[in-house]
Amino acid sequence: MQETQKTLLKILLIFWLGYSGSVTASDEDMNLRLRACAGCHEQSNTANFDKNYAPSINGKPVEYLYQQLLNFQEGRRLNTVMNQMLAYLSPEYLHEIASYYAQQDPSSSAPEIKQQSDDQAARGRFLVQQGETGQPACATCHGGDLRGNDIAIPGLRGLSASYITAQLGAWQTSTRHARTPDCMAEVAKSLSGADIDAVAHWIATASDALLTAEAPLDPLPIECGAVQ
Amino acid sequence: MIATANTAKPLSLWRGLAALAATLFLTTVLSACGQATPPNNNSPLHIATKNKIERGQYLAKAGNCATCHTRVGQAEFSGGRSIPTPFGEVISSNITSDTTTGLGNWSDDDFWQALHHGKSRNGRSLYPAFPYPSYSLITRDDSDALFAYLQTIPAVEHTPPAHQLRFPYSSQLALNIWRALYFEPQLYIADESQSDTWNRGAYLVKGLGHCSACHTPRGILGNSDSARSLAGADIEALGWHAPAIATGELSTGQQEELVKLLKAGINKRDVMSGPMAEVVAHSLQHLKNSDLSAMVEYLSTLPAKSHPSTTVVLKTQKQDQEPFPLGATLYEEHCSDCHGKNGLGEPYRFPALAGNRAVMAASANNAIRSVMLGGYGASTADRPRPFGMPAFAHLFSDQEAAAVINYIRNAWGNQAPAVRTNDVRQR
Repeated sequence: MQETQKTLLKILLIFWLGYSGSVTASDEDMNLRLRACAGCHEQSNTANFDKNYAPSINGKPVEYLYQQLLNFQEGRRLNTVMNQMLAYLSPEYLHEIASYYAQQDPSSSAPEIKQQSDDQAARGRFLVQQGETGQPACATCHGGDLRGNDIAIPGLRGLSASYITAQLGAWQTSTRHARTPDCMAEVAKSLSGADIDAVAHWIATASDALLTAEAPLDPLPIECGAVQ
Repeated sequence: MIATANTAKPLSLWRGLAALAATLFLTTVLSACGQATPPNNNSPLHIATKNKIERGQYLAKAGNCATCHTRVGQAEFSGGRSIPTPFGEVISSNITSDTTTGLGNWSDDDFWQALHHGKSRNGRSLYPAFPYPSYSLITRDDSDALFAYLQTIPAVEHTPPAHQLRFPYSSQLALNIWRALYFEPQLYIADESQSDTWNRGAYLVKGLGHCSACHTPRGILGNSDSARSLAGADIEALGWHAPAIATGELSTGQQEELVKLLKAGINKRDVMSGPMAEVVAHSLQHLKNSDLSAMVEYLSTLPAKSHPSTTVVLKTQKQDQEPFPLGATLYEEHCSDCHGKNGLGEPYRFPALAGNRAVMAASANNAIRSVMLGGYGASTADRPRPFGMPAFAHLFSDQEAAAVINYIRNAWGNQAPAVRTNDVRQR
């Protein structure tokens, strides 16, 4: 090996080591930078975490989180706090924030206490696991275990019934958007109010034993702009 | 150490190497292209045009044109953003080079008529939400450069929706009466008794920068109150307060810190938030340090004017009594980790609250909005990864928010009028 090549490799190695050596420090640094997010989203922060108000975002797919941050920044999702929070951050930084939360352990929060009649629970389970004709079951994209996939489909476990209801409602009334074709808007608009209630409560309250191991379909049953 | 690196790291290394290789390759290709450039691209005319467009691009940053003329998520300069005013909503126009819906068919004379005279190509008066009372001051040369740059913006066919103004504000007659009362086209006149730098600063602040659009109080008809120029004003439609920027004399050190704040969005003690973070993100961070210094030099020669209501003082408290015990407790629990027990914050991370003019402003709007809604500063070239302020709207009652705001406005030597629960509720 030539002397110049060796020198070049040495320099690269030094940079590489320097970079990996700083991982722990940069995680701590990121933690400090993201205190503003932790105020609402961090569940260990029990004083501040409001389960009905802010969803758990730990362990959600990085590209899903990144798309949501862009959606808030560009007005496809409306929430006074989130819209103001992110307004002037660069896409690079938003992606870094998304990666940070994607790497955190997802919550293993206990299901909510059951608040459903048997009929409503049966309807919820049917819509989540079987689906109506022309209306794909939640599990076909989010998986039988409702944990989503690693690329762009979010897990639904750990979300409260009121949060899920609010999101489905926001899609119905077009106050929440995703990139077109907006598959979730289509699905949400095909659900009745009672069905939204049934699905949201079932997802939030079903025990793990009721979930299945079915993998998300590939390709997805309908076209989704966010999953390209 | 390699052993402790997680699996993503080798990828990062390869990505880095690939980027390095790509850069080397591109550099080589580009320099090869440079040698093969046809000679007429180096002609004096071509260079003059290129320089003019580049200057126009810089001036467009200084004038922050893109912010109002772009709707978030849409093509830059294609218009359609709603500018809320006390008289209704003004919708920005498409200023891309599109010939039917943009400025593609305009001449530089048409553009000058808009900028200097506040009249559209068809002769109709423009609403002063387009800040032509400020833009009127800029030179014809700068106007032409701006226009040359805007003509290079790719055409986007988009007709923004109509303005949503209440009658009589929506009528040309009312607008023309307003213009007769409050607007006269005028160029910037240099003050010969001042330095070139001072004049450059004044030209940018009063002209393209249109700082007075937010920082100067307005009369009942939306006219600038020139007697209180840059003395700070509430931006009613946005719910924010634009603090006084007629700063009075500043030391060299203070001037340097202020330049940093304009450039990076943050300095040792302060951070830009709300609409000003947007101005930093889209405009100020792109300006040359020499221009920012000139602006600061000019501002520091304007005598500080206080807002009339700052003279309201709190009822005298007994010396040994904590005036806002609930606020103090909440501050200790939720705020002191970042802003410090002494309110001094952390340089370049969390702003100092002690001695902070925005905290103590007569209008508590900014304090209320920051506490309730939180927010990140702007990502800038100097500070790409800002720290943020959490939102407390879901945690504090209006009464608790008022208590903590009153505490920070009156602790550590701070002094400001008390905020009522109702002030928080209304925001």
